[in-house]
Amino acid sequence: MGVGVVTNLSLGKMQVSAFEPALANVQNDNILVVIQQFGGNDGMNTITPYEWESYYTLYRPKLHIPKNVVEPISKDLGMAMHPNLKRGPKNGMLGLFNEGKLAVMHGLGYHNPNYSHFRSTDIWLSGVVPNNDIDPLKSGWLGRYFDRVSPSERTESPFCLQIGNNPSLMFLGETGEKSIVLEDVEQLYSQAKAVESNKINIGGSAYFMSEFDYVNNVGQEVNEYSKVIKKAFDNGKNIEKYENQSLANQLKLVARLINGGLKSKVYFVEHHGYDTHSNQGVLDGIHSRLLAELSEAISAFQSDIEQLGHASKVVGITTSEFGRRPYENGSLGTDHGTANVGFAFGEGVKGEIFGFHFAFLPFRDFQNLWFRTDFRSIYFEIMVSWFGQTPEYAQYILGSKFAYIEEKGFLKNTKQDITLPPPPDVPKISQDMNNPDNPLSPLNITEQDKFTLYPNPVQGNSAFLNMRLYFQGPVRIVQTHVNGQEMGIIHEKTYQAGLHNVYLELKGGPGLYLLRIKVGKRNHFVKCLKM
Amino acid sequence: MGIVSRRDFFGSLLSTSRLDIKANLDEYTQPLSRPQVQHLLRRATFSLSNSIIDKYVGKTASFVVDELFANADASINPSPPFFHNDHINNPANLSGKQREEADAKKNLLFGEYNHALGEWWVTLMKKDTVSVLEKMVLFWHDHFATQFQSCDNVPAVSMYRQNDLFRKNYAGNLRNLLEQVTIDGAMLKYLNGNLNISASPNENYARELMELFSLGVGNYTEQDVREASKILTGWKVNYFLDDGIPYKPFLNPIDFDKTTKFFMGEVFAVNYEVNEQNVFKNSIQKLIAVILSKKGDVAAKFISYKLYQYFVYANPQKADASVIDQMAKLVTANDFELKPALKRLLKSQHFFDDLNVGAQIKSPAETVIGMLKHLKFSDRLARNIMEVAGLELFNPPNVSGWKGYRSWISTKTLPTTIYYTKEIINNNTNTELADWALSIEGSGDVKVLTERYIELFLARPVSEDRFRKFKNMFLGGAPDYEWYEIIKNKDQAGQRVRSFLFEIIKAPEYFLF
Repeated sequence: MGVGVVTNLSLGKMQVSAFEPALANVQNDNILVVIQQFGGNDGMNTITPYEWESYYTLYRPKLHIPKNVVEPISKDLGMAMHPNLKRGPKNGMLGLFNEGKLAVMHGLGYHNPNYSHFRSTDIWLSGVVPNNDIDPLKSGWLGRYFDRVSPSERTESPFCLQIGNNPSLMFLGETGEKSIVLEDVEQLYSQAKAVESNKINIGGSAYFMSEFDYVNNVGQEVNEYSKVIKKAFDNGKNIEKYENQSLANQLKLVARLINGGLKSKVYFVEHHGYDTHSNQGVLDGIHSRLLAELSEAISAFQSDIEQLGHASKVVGITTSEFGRRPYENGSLGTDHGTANVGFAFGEGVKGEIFGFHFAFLPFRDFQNLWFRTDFRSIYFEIMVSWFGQTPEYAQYILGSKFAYIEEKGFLKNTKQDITLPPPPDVPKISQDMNNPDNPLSPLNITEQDKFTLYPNPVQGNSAFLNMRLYFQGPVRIVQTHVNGQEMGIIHEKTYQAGLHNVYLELKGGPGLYLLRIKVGKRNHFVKCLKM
Repeated sequence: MGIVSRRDFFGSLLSTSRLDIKANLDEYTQPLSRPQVQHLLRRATFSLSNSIIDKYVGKTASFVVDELFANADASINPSPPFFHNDHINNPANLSGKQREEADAKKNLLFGEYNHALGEWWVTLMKKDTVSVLEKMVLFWHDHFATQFQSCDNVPAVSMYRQNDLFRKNYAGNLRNLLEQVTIDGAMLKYLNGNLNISASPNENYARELMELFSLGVGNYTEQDVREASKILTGWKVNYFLDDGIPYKPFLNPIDFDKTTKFFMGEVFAVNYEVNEQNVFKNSIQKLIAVILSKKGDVAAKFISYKLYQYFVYANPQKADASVIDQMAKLVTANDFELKPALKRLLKSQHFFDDLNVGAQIKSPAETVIGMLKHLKFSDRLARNIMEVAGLELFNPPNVSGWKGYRSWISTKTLPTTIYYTKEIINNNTNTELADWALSIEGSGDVKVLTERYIELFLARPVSEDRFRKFKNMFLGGAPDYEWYEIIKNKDQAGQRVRSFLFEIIKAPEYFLF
């Protein structure tokens, strides 16, 4: 039990107004399925930029998916699906795309991305992008969404059902958990009989009582909902054949429960293993296997749901805390990155590609991708178009309104809303070298490379040069005395775009020198006083 | 223990509030009452026994805590698991029957033996009833979380060596632990340290070193991550005899980045001969030293916060912040030696404040070991029960360890834990259960027996109503004095103990401590 009535919901530093729009009392029975790809999916090898030379030569010399095996989905945008995305019934996710039931949403992310799995996962699950790294994220967007439904009474079915072990932050509301967590229905049902099912009023100290109530409440929910879930399980069935692996089995259970009449609004399933720092592999690697599992599971589920006759009321989305960096690392893997590709599937979604392909350059912080659509746009649209709430209510949950993806939205029944804020401003791109929108052309780089020498004045011979490069290329540093005498090349190496600290061993005695820094064809000069 | 009604509670909450808690580390000097001894032992060990509680009632917190640490110091060298010296040649270099044998052994070392290692640890946890040792080893396993099971498994010998490192440094120096963990064989494998080479650094370990092991998210820059990963290059570990000394981390000088790095404002020049000792000293030790000197207060606070959550309350409130600050000051004042702060915390008025009693949610280590200790059951199966209940030893869910606190109890884990705890109980015959009950001092009096059992398993004394209900599980409706007759028949008495335990393990406060 919370203390008092929450009247002023605080989301990070963001204060949500005291105005509390009511939850619209819509009797729509639409269902959302969320597939969480834990670890950070490598979007670049999921939807490959197959027409981009730099993908094969610069970013992924070892880890690219070969051009001759991918499945192009847009020649114009230079985008192709990983071949394993056609695994599963009716050509897998590729088949869904071709039938117009799969939305490919590019560049989902948020401003000032966090590279920690745990923080970024929490940001996605909470639907809150905090102003700093410290503020705890205490509730999830769907937890808050269901907070407003008469908290005193239990509903007939749990609001949300999560297949797995640990309750997800996504369903934690200000007034408690909004989901039931289970792995196996029969097991839950048989084990639930031994759980304390009565509300016990207890004395003691405040912390103890609050934790006691928590455990007591979990027990009551288990007792009540295990019966409801068992009933749906017994009444439900599957028609499609699923692969026997974790994600497919989870979705198989979800389809059966929906078919059996469970009234939960949201189902949450987990797919683990995307943190591919090493041995990510190519076609027979870890990441490719994960994509095969994803495609097999999603396409079997969609086919099942269609055959069972629920296709009009079920859509699914995939989410992952971040993508991975364009440049592969030295361990045949990729490190934590930023914006990523997400999918939505179902008869209710627009079978289109949203967003342009990744803009390789300029990177947002010299080596990571810009995002194009705030991930909360997806949540906002789901609440308004799929669950039928007012934009004001969705705003209340997320702290502000969000533009629909590409302003038109990924759901078929989304209506354009000119009152929504504009989408984030991101650079346009083109592959044509002569096009001003091609960021790969050095001519288009408006930002100047930056160089800072420190310490300066230099004591002795040792100094550091801090370089910000907006384009990769060979760097050569020549030291010259102000009187024109050339002291020679003191550094020469090829660098990627990004931030670099270069250690320099300076030559000559005390005096004023010039460092001529040549990056590709551009020259820069830094003055240096040697003591 | 008086009984507080809800109305009284909310009334008092409005008028007094959490701010009245003893928010400092001043020592609690009065002799400990029975509930206070229980509180201390519940937090410091995994299982209670009535005789140990008896032994400490009336002693001071200082006396008991000193003893818990002295006992820990004396127990840091348990006999190792049977496989700790096993090694093999790389099957890939063999052929025929030799290869088959080596492959079979490899499967054991990288798989099954990790389960055996869990069993080995369960046995130690079960036996450790008078020291803070195993509780702290689990703390470190959670803090420096390493999974044996990833796409490329970590061999059990390396997992054992890491566990041994935690045991030897159970309340030791954070600096030393950070240095050692950085080149620990299991960690090098788990967070790709062994793949971090100068030609192309892998950031995995460098990031987690700062985010999860020392400073916390937000206290370092992406540049720090990049530079630290360069500083950490070159360390390797082999698992096969024919590749060198197995399991022992070493430096491969070719893969060490010899350029000068710049980390948190400090220059890391390689102006020394590149060999293992020099690189350890000038790169690893220096890296940790820079982190702990530039961000010493942050690091001290970070570890103090986690220790506080582990020993006092997992959901600290604003009023507790000053206690954590005082712990952090003690940590820095002692150059990251943790024992002084830990002892001070466990002896403090704050620790014994009634508000902190019974407020922790048990992990499967507490629920399972706490019952296992008293009953006949297999330690291997107990390890498996802990796994399905959400805590698989040597295999935390990810590098941030277990989420802890309320995530221990979900609609999935609560019924599962109760179900399997019954299995532990049901592995014992009525006679065995009766013998246990009768071995408890004062068991002839059903009221005393009920009290003694409740102190073993429930977080706080219960209300009169509930006490009567629990007691009645022994009596089956008969008056108190009938107990004297009931215990004459062990089969009947044992059956009553069983019913009593079934009632106890479903009580919400069985899951609190």
